[in-house]
Amino acid sequence: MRKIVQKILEEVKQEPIENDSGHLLNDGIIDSFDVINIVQALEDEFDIIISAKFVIPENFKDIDSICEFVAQIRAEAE
Amino acid sequence: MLLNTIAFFLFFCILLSAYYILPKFLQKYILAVANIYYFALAGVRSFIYISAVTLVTFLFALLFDRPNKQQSVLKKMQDNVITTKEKMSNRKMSAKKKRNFFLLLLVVLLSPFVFLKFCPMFPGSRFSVLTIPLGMSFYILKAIGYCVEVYRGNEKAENSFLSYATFIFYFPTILQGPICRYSDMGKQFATPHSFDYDTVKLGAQRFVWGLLKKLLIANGLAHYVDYVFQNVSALFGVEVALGVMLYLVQLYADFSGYMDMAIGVSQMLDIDLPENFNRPFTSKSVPEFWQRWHMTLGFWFRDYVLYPFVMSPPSRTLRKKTAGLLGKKLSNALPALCGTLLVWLLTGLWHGVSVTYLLWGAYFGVLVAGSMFIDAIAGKIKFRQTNFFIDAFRVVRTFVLVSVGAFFLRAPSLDTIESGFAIMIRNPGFSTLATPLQTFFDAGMKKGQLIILAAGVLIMLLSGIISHKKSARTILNNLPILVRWSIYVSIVYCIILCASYMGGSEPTYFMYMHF
Repeated sequence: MRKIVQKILEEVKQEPIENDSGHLLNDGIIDSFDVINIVQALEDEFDIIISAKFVIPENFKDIDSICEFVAQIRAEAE
Repeated sequence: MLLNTIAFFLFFCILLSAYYILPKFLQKYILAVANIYYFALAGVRSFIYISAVTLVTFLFALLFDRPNKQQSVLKKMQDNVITTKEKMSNRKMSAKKKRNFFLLLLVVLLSPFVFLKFCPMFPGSRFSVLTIPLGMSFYILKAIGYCVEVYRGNEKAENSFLSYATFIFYFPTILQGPICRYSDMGKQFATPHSFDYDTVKLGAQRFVWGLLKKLLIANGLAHYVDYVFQNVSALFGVEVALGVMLYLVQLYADFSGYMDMAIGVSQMLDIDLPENFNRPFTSKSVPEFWQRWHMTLGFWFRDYVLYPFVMSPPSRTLRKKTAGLLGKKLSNALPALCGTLLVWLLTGLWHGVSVTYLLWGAYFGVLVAGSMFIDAIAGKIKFRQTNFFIDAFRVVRTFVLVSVGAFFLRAPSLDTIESGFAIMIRNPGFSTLATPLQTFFDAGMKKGQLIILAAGVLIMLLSGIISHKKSARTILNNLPILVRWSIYVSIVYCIILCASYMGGSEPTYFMYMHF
């Protein structure tokens, strides 16, 4: 999952993203519209529905935190 | 009680002394008393409104978070004795009830707010005299944000009414924000704070810097800006254009000056408030500008309007249904485009219910959505090489585009906007570039005031550039003591000078208070 999430981030930003790039949202690496694109790509890739309550800064801190909330949604859906 | 008054200075000195001298466990009560006293001065009507909003949202949040009879059902789920069908059915019922309750809360909270916003639209009616109670446009958003987070389960409801009321009533944020989140503030109000000289010193420096921006720059520019907007049709286009651009600078100095004062006051109490500005005049695009200006309002609309709209079932349906017709990129962008326009129209209405505010919202909505549309079609176009001149062009272009929007915000009517643009096109007055200077004097300013004002604007803009690398206060605090104290004395002298020259001895209101 980690590689897929990283690939989605890099496709949206069109630049390399590593886990130690800093806080993705708070450091301005991604903006509000990037978040929307990332959420849509995650929904399409993993066939899940991400509600607005998951779109908080803590869940978009880095690649691992995105993987965590995606895993949580997938677990709840099952 | 405005932050730039002697009364506030006395009030705050007493508060600060009691806060750090008396036992720490009394700090939250001292703050509560200070908040109530501050608001009580605003009048009975304002006090009743904020108290009602505080009580209603406090109780609703507790009800959202209340363990309900479904807990026994949840326990059964854990024991795996309940069927899958029953699990889904119970979850839906509980979620539906909670959603209806939440919608009821929004109706209860927003109805008086929307009603009072609409009242000025009906001059002559008995409701036209009603105005928005002090600070309502700001604290209502704080309260709604808190309820949303509890409703979503991202936050636990606060059990202490005192803590929650302190959050809503917190006096530095009442007049113009920032719009805080309870997750950032709640713990700070509950934690005891020890006196720290450096913290209080930094807070005081920030406060004084904000006061200077307000008295010197905002009040100073107000002379010229008010004159221009009262005499649009009698001026040259270049004077009107300068007036519009200086209005944007005035608004920044006034609003960010207040923020500096509020954040400084709060810092002296060892309570951190979120920043509301991040060097907006260095922005290279309009979307970037709005990520740097009135940030807490932008974050609020992003988290509680844009994201829920884009991630709603109707938006998902729109994406799927338009994918074949528009292609994947554009169909994905469509909900965000619509959501952006919605956010900007609502932001315009938040400022006030008038055609000029709607025009302001629509203008920026189109600009920001347009930028997204271009990104969706063409991908993110990045110049591989950028240099000082390209960046400078972008910064100036952004400033001009935002100034046009500011014109809509400041203009008292559509006629003024129409006259202004007509004059800029028909009679720009480029051959008479000396007239803007003369207009300053026609507006009642003296040569000395103009020089001080120009110096102040330059210092304010330069400090924004310097603070990118290092905070201006850090630079100041590292200077030799004699140099540092010379600067302090100069600033105090400037403040006294400004009070005499720029705004007289009467304190002037802050511009965003009117929203």
